[in-house]
Amino acid sequence: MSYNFLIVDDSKTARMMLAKTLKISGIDLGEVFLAEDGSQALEILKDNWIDLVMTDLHMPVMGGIEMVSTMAENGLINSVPVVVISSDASQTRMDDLRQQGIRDYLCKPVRPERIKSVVEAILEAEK
Amino acid sequence: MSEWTEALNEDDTVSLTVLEDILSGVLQEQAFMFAEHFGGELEIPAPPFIHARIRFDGPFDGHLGLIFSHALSMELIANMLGLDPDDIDSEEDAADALKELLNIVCGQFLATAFGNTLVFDLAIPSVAQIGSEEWSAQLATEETTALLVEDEPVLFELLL
Repeated sequence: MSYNFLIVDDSKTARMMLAKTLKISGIDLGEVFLAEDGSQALEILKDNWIDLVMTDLHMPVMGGIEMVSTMAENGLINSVPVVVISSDASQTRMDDLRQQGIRDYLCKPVRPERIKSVVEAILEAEK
Repeated sequence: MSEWTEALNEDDTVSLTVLEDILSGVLQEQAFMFAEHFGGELEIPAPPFIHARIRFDGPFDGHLGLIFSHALSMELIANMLGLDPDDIDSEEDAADALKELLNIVCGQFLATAFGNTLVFDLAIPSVAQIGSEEWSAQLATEETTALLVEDEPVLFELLL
């Protein structure tokens, strides 16, 4: 079974690095969707089957915190797992987002083996 | 708060040393580029340069900046993405790579310096192209120091 991912980051470099990491991780990849902010991500989520969202926090237009809040309000976060990948290492912020339903919070830079173990654990639990 | 906090408030040199260590580590891990401290007289690399800055607000406010030559920033993005430098022809991509590097360095610096219980808001990094005169003027400021990256001076600044 292959999995569809949505990567949300305003940095093209970060999106490409994460997409490449997923590709080499050995995860059975379906389609990898890319969004530059939370607003674009929510549009993609409306029209496509996504197995897991990986999002940055600080982005123009709509940041990751607002996107997670929206997904928590409409219940989407219960069916589409979200992992935050950010350079913001505040434990307080991580705790707030976990309470809103994110599955994990990884601080940049993220090693491929860490992404693989987190993604596999989440997708396995979703089966 | 971390053990660094008091030292940071007392001595800017300590904070620049912390930042230098973090920058060296991130460059090595993300771009396979090796950095070393340089305290002598610097030869200005060939212009133009890309000056990336990120502002943070919270219990302590300030900003971090990085200045790479354009040529070195192209090498940076190529290494970060595992591509050949000749395959990268976009100025925008080079600037984006520097912004992402700065973003990672800033997050690690704040966590190392102030611990992870405090909440900081990191602004979206900005970039500007500068010339040799601005490069020299920036180096002369107290909050700026240099690191040799792949034998080329890279400037970084920290204002707390």
